[in-house]
Amino acid sequence: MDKLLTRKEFLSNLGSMFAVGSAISLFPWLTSCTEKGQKEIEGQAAKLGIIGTGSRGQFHIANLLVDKSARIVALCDDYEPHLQAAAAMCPDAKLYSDYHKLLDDKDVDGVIICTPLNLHAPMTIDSFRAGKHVFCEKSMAYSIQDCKDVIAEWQRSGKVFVVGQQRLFDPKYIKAMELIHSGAIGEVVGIRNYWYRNNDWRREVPSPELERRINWRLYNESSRGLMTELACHQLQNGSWAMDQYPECVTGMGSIRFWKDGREVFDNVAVTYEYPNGVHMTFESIISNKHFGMGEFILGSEGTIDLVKGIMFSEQPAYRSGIEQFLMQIKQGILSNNAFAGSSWSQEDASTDPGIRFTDKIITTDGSSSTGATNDGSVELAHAFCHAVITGQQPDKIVKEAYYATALALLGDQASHEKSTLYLEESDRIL
Amino acid sequence: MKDLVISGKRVKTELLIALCCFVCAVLINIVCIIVYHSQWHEIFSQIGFTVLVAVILYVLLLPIRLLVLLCKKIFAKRNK
Repeated sequence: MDKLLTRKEFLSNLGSMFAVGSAISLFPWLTSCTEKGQKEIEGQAAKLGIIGTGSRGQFHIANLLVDKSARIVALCDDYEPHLQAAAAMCPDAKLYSDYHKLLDDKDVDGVIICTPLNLHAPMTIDSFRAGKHVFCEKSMAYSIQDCKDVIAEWQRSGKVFVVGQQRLFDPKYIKAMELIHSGAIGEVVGIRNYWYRNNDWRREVPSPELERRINWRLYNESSRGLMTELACHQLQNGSWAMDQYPECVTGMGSIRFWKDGREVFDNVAVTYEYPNGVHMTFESIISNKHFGMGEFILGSEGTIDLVKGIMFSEQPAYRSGIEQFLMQIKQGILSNNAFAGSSWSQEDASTDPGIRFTDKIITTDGSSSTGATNDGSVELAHAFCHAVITGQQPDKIVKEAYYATALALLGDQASHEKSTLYLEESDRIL
Repeated sequence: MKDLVISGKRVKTELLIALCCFVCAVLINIVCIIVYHSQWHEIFSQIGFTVLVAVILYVLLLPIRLLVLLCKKIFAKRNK
């Protein structure tokens, strides 16, 4: 039987949540994190090239430098300051300004692509054609057709493909999904996601001609805005919880506040409908951060707050006032605005503090544009290294990533057209 | 080993502070009953939690009291 490793907090958390064997049978993509998986790659390291050494690229580099199963042998960026910053982190790596040259490098087994969205598909396809394993940051590609092309090339190549959907490796999400699938909150009746920030989403630009390269997230030619940068993560929750994919989406968006020449929306509201009638919402505004980031799975018997790792019952056991107060202090959620204050109205939100279902839970407010710590990113990168060394494709990741991207892209299109769009049968390729 | 002598005044002071903490805890319990719409008999039935809150308050007061004591000593030294 596989035994979960204890060397990381992730694994100790996970180990305390599940019977060891069941974790792997329910979540087979976690194999790389088991003792057996670790033994398979003992003493070996995946030789990696990083394409795109901006903030996210450097985030991965910092994580991989402390992972014994990774060796960064090459770096590539056509923006010199980013390349030099990454080179300072790994001085032994070869430097390239053209990714084709990095792909010609025989020392490179696999590549991690952290470039603007419009470059994901061409770079991923070229990497497979060059015989490299690929870890591409989310979203998978700029269009659904691009995604299909990437998938087709991946299937032809026989190489390993991983996409940056790190929630698949986050212990609180894993535990939440296990609870949902075991029926702990009854039937899933709704999914609510939101991501609020209050910043212009801009990076500092040293000279005006670099504006579109540095602030690529703000322009239609290189980005699909909030849907591909934020929603892509949260939409995956619905599919994971429901074990199915939505049929259609309707949405709206606009540039309401940040009228600074950007082309992508600064606020969106989209709703997806599943075949069984369940609706999943995603709302994002980047000129108000009051509600922060939230992801809730609503069931007929309870609700799961994925971000905080708390389960609320529809009929909570009676707790005295002082007990509720002490529990709220213990859980540190006195400032949680998801629940209204006291009211005599029967329609008032629940004041039940809920039950935290994982120990040592680490939450994030979603404000970082680079990446939060302990959100599964480290384990995802490690899984990629394991896959590169063993040649074993981690289960589920590509499928989840494909549908998360496809739904995000469809939502973006719907909010531009202010229409209802359907996920066509021809788009259900996995 | 030297015997520790706790004066009657000290015992009195500590008991008074503990009593104040308990009264505060009872008040907190009452506020909780109002805020969470729970039942009034919890004033008595939740005495265990009330005592727990009183102990927490007493412990939380200790560093503050030590700080005040330290400041007093420093000022007393300066005034000498």
